[in-house]
Amino acid sequence: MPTGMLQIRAISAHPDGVPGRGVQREEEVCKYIDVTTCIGCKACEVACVEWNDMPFQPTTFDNTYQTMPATSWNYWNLITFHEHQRDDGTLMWLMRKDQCMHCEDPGCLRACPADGAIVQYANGIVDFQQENCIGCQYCVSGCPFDIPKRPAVCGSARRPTCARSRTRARSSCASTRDFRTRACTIRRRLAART
Amino acid sequence: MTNGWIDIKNTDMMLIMGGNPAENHPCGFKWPIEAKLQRNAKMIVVDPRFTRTAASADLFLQIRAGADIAFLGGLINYAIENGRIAHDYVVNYTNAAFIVKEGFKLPDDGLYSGFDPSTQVYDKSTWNYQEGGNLTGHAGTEASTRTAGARAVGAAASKPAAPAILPPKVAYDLSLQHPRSVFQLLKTQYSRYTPEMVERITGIPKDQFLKAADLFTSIRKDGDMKKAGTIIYAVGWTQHTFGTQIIRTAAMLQLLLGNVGRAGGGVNALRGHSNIQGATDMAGVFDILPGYLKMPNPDDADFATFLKRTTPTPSKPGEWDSYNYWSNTPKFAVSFLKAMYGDAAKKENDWAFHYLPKIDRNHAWTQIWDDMYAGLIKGMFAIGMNGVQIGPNTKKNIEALKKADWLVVGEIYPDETSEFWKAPGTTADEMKKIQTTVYRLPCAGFAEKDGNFVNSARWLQWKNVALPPPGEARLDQDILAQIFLKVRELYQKDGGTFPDPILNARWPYTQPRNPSLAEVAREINGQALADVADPATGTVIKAGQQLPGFAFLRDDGSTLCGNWLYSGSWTEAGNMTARRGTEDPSGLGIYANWAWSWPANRRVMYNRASCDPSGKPWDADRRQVWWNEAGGRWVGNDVPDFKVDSKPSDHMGPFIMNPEGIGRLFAPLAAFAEGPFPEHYEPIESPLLNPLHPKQSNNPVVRRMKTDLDKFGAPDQGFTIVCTTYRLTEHYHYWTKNNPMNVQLVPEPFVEIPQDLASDLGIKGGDKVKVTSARASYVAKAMVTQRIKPMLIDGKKTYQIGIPIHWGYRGIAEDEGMTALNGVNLLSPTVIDPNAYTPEFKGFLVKLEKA
Ligand code: SF4
Ligand code: SF4
Ligand code: SF4
Ligand code: SF4
Repeated sequence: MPTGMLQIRAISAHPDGVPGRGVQREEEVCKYIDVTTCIGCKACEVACVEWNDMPFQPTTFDNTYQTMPATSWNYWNLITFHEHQRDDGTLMWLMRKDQCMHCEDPGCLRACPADGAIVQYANGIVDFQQENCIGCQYCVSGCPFDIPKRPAVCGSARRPTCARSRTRARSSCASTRDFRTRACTIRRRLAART
Repeated sequence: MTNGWIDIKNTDMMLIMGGNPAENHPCGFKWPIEAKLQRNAKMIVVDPRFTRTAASADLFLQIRAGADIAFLGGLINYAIENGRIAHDYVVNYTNAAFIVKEGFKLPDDGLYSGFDPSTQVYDKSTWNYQEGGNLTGHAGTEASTRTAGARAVGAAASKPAAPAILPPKVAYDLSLQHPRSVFQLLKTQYSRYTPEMVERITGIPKDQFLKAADLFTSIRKDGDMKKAGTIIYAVGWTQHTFGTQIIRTAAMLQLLLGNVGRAGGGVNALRGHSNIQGATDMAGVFDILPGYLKMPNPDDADFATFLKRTTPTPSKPGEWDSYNYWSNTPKFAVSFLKAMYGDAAKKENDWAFHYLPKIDRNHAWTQIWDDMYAGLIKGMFAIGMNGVQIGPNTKKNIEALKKADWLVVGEIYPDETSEFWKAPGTTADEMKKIQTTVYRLPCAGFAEKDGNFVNSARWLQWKNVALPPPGEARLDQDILAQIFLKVRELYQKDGGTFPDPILNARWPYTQPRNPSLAEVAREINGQALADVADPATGTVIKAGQQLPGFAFLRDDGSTLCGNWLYSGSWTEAGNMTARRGTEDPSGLGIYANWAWSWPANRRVMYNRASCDPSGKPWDADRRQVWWNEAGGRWVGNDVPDFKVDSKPSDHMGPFIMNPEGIGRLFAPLAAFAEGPFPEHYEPIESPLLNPLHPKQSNNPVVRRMKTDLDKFGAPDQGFTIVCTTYRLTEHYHYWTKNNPMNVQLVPEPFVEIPQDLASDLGIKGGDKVKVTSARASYVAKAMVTQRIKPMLIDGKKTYQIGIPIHWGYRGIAEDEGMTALNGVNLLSPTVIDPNAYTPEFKGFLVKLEKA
């Protein structure tokens, strides 16, 4: 789907207003993760790597079911595993999903000094435009979820791009084509934007 | 599964035990989650480890591996003691009211009546029903049930006695009060499984057990019949020396609670492979023919003798009716022989029955390797099976292959079996001595073949080819057909001891060298060889046409059918298994037009039991089938699993595959090797003696292999830790270690170790540890976790550890030297369940140390 079809709401470091603002209404979506039904199967990790055509990388055993300690420049979706003992001695095994949350007020976008390197579409999806990025890595510190990462190979930061092409029809990102327990879905944003 | 995956969404209560669906069946696990979200269903998970399934549970109990019967027996006791049973269901749909023969003895000392310690075999003649009539109201008047012919125990041992059979008319007591009624015997049997006893054996504290028992049986609180509970299991139950009996205990509990045959109920086996159900249905097991027909044995002198032995006759209370569907065995068997041998199977030659091999003894998987180790088997085809890895006692399997003359491996990757000769530890000198010729045939992977997968829900789902096999890889049927045709050519040329079955085998395929699976599937469905009419409807199927279902099968040679259970899967209307209709008018998730489910496209088996005796659904909101008085027929949202015109007043039993027509709480005669009611026995390697009967700790009829490599360990030799093995979500058996993405997810083998044990031994997460059993050692990194806790077993602190199975000496990590290059089955013992012959991969003993 061509990018031009999506209405942009915000542009990083852009001096003027957003072109075409208010022209087109998009259905707003958000990432909905139900940690109570996530089973930590990691199908979403695989889907993300494959959809984005990321290289495989060696990992090492680290006394956990978790694939790697944190997301990385080429691993944008990570299930983290936490064992937690309640006061009564019973156990919880919590699985949390680390990935770009497509924030309503994206810290990455706010921090970014390069015009047009990060945009937010009217439907809520936050996207990265590699060609405009100057590699300053401000977005890395701007993100509260530690998602943008400095790649091993070049100066620019990398953050997920593919949600744009997959959320248009609310069909969801590759990782939310979750046929398991539907723990992670792209849903219509219910709360009105202020 | 008696029910199906989607049907789990209809449940109110789940007991998940002996299985880990969130990890090993993650796609199917959406249905338990659906039941939780939509129906507020409760989920109880019982497992030796806190798994990803446990993470979703309302209640998790940690059990010692191998203590399952004690737990389930405890639930039966609790349900009976607290009146939480489905009374009408139990009286009418099970054999609770049947009277058991005099002389039958319960296993207080671990043994049922009739045991011969010298041969380790039971004389099962007392494991039978009493012949007679209605004894309701005559409880205790022993004389009324005594028959002149009743044999005393032991006296029956004189050898060639005619095999005992079930009496045609069974004595019964509808008040369930008779001391020898199945119900009273059952009650006595499980009265020993008190919460205290459950705690001693399983390690589950009494209060936790009671919490689970109360929750699970709460669906039958105050006699309510609306709710349904399901039991979900997998190989965590089968892989024990009493695995079949664990599953039976679950079935009995479900019968007592009235959960079988009902939407959201049932006893549901989750199959660990996309087509394991199909492999069993099509007789990928040594002792059955397709469709669970029995294999002939050497005493079956002719076809009539075989049919007499394998065709049951009804056995029931005189006033009740029994469909006894296996009475159709002759039709299924003749049609099968016609499919095998075509025109060569004629009435005059007993339908070529003598062509079929006769099974003289056990030829189960473990026995094959034992025979090869003993030099009896000289060659092996290992196609789609990594034999070295999947069986217990890997070392013995490797040694067995060294003694073989030849080995053919059909695989998509080089694997441990095709490279057994370079197993770690084999010296160059030893390699020179190995004379086995290995042929490696590159095969097609699943996406490169069409055909049917039969899933856990018994659906045959046709799949298409996604891409052609790469390089020189060939389809299985291509390989097998060419071997068959070559063998046949050799028989034609050179003759042989018994060429007829090979020369006369039916081989009608358009491309004999590479038959299409569509043609094979049509043959399996069955075809008319002459015009056949359905007496009920008058429908005529013309010679050469596809049969619409197994009701059309005949025993006069006018039909052929490869597997009666699959009849209806490929009819004149086409390939039913390729259907993808998404209509579900009842909302019960039946999806009758999606693929095709055996038998007869029925989605929930025994669904007559979803109605009360008068034919009205127990739950008006989940109506599966019901009796339509006006039409005089059973109708419904699902296909009735019943004689459609048998009116409720006939009192025909809903379990039409049993000659009794009812569900068996008491399994008579030879149904099971170790007794009519399951009894808790300890695993062969156990940290304690059986608290129920220390003198008979193990299953008395268990089969152990006896070679020099079959060693067993005991606590006094230092083997004190209970070890269990399992799979991970991230890997699939021994394939995915060849796939970089799976390897990235979980790169290396590990051993899950309780925190306390780790600190006792000074082990930290990531340290290398050595696990040793009586058979071998295994080295991997430690995963120190809180998810396995130390347990008190019979008052003694006991540790369990767990090891995933996925690694060996061939694969990405292996080739990079990241693993210790061995398989975990080096540790497991070759000792098998006497009914299903499954090895005890769960719950054997080991020692643990820092490597
Ligand atoms: S695919 Fe779904 S259930 Fe599996 S880990 Fe990802 S979010 Fe959780
Ligand atoms: S990168 Fe971080 S800040 Fe930016 S949208 Fe994603 S989660 Fe929010
Ligand atoms: S590195 Fe980040 S903050 Fe800097 S220009 Fe690129 S996207 Fe913007
Ligand atoms: S939107 Fe794309 S990059 Fe982000 S988690 Fe989904 S698949 Fe991965």
